[in-house]
Amino acid sequence: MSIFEAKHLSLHYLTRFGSKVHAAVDISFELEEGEILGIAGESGCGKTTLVSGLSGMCIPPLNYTSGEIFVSGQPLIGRPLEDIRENVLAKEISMIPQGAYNALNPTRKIKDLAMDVLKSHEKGKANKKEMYQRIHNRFELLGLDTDKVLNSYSVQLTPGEKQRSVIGISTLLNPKMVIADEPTSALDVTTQKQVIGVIFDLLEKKVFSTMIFITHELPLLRHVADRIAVMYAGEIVEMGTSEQLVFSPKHPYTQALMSAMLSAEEGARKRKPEAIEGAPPNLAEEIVGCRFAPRCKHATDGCKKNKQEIRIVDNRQVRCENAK
Amino acid sequence: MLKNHPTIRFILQRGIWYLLTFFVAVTINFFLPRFGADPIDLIMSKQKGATGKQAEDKRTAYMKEFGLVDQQKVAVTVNREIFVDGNNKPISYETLSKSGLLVEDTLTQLWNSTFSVTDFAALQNALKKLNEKKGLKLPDWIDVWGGCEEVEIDDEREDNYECLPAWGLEEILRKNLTASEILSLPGININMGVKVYSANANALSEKLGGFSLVSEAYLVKEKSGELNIYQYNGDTQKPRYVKIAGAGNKVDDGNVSFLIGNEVLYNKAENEQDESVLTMLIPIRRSLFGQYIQYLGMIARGDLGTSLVRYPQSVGNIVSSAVPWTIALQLPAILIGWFFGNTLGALAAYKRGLFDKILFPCALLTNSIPMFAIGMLLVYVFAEGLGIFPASGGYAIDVVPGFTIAFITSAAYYYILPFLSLFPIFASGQATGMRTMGIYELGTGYVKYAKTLGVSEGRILMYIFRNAMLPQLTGLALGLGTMIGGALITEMIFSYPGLGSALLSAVQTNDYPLIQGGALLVMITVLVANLTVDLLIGFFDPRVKAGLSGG
Ligand SMILES: Nc1ncnc2c1ncn2[C@@H]1O[C@H](COP(=O)(O)OP(=O)(O)OP(=O)(O)O)[C@@H](O)[C@H]1O
Ligand SMILES: [Mg+2]
Repeated sequence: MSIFEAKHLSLHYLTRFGSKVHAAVDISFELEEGEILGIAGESGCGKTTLVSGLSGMCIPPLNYTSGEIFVSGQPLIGRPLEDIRENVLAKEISMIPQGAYNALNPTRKIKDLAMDVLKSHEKGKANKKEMYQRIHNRFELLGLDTDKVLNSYSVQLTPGEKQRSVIGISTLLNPKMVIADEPTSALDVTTQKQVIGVIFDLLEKKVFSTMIFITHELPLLRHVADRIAVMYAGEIVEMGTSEQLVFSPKHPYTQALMSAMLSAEEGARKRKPEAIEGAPPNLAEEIVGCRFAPRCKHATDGCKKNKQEIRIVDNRQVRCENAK
Repeated sequence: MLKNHPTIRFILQRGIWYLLTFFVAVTINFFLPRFGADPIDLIMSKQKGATGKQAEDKRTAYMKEFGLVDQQKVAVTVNREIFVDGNNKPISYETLSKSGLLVEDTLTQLWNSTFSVTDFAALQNALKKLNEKKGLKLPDWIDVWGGCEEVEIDDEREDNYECLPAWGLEEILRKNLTASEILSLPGININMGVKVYSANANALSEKLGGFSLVSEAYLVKEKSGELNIYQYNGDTQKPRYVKIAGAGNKVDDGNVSFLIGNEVLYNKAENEQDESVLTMLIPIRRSLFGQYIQYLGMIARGDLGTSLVRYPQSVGNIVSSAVPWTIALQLPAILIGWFFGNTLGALAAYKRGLFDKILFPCALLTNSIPMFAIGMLLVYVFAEGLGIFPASGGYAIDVVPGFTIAFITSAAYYYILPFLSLFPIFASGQATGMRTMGIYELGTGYVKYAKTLGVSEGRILMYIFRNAMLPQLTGLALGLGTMIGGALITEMIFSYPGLGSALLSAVQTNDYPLIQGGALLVMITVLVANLTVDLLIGFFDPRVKAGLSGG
């Protein structure tokens, strides 16, 4: 049985003036225990939006449009929010948000923030000392100066320390699944490596087993993810194993994305990275036909008019009627 | 050294800044009434019925109180007869005064403390005690009398008049008061006097270490209303009083001539040989800079000067009796309003929805109604219309202020309407501010993160409240700081006693020292409140704190 499943999930933002921005549309995927799913796509394609809706609790202005979510076979949408807060968040699904620099309350020490998470989920059996010990033990795994970091305010920490503190807090309750939203963007290269190292260290130590990993860096995803989903304008346009996506992409957008990638591989020097012409569609407006068609080199009259559905091509899901 | 102590450095830095601001404020406060029309002219124009000499005297007194004139020491020659030592050598008043044995001084102390015009027996007793304390046993030559005009003073006296005591004169000479000022001194009643005469001059002279005291002099109001100075002739067997000077006009007595007025002149007769030097204080107009220095000195001593209109009450006294009312009026309204407003604002930000949709416009509306409108509406409805609450005053007329249940209940009852006129405005102002801050905080990454981790609602609310509250603290400080002078309108509408009312009447009567004193007090409170918040935020907000340690 899959540990997590999304079925035709759609999410929208409600703007101030009442219009809707459909930032994640018709998302379906399954995750097995121990699996790592990578999500890639250009900025603004809806990656953060999608993962924000996966926990069963949307924070306004984000709202559910339609679809279903199952965690360990249990439907999530429709459950009372308090139930989700207590039993799902941080326990089943935990989030490492994009931009750890503002994820930490500036007026509380790291240990208090961690304590707040524990206390919010373990009412009654609160033993401060024992809790602190648990926090301390978890932070020891992060390769930090534990006592210093725990007794600091976020402003006193370096970006790398902040990011690792967030990872520590998010994994305090040994969640079944972790969603890491670009955990390394805005970090320098060495710190990026450390942070990635910490995440996979925790995976190895079985602190958690399943992960959704969002990043711009496809080469990185190839190494760490079992499967990759590529998003474009709110839709998953292609999803398959890492090998399939990196070495033989089928969707024109995935292909374009791969060739736009700066690669460190051999022979990459001769290949000029190709920018994708044009801009993604405005998600607040109704879109007819394939969402990528206006920018697609292989667009046909048909796909410019027809809404594209997921097809299975070469053992993977592709949202393109012309893909072969 | 300070480099290693960021906290001390921070406190010092802020402290110096605020001190500098205070200094500038004091300077502005000093110069403002000195621009434009002469403040003394303005006040004089409002003093009705004062004409001629009286007006001139008043003007002089005002100038002195306002620090426009200086007391300059001037040497004056004094007839040797006033004080002579055992060898008949003249000694100065100051030397005598420093000996600590001068009876006049003892009496002067009494003048300042226990002098009572009604209880002469008590005064006499007090005098005796004082003298005994000093080792002087002088029962038979102290005589206190007074009261009615028809008192038989002494057979030998030429006239039947009322006297002011010699020690009063000394005091008057030293203080440089004019005759009319003397008459307006507190406690002075020209119809009574204390006479000290040396019936036992030799015994006294022994006690005084060889000095003989022959300087009895009296300021006397004649039946005709004229003021004259009489001096005791020194003869213990046949005491006589010789008129030596007239107040205001020059009187020659062969030997000396006095002129008591703004300037005290003391001219010795040409043929007189022995003389001693007595230094006297004479008023002279100060330079602007001199006035400024003198003003700074006064501020440094905590002396706010003397009210011109409510002369001779000191500004300090007027202010300190008014301030408790102002604080009692505003402090509860501000504190309760702050807590109430912030809690509502935070709830509105967090809950949004209907609660916010109703609360926010209400708060905006309340906040935009002028304070006087609410006050007048309350008076109109509850005091004049329904008659439930009193319309004006701080307490009922028939209760005496003090720590009594009657007074406290009365004050509380009279407090309700003023409170209701202040509270909603402050609370709604805080609520709208807090709501905006709260909504901002709600949208921040850390709140979202805490939510995605399932942190409980109460904790998140606490995050928001705390972080949004830090800026709101400044609002509280400003509220507390401006509180002292801020309730002027409320105090006016409800005729509530307080600093606002005091300042208002001071402005209306151009009582500059009182205006300046009140303004200074407001400045100080605002500065102190801001400094406190500045320091508190520095210590409690890690965002600022990190900035201080250079992190
Ligand atoms: N609060 C919001 N209200 C309306 N539209 C929003 C809101 N937040 C995001 N969007 C829109 O939703 C779309 C998807 O945004 P999202 O943040 O999910 O992108 P992303 O893939 O995570 O991008 P990035 O790689 O830059 O993080 C964007 O077009 C964005 O403009
Ligand atoms: Mg994102």
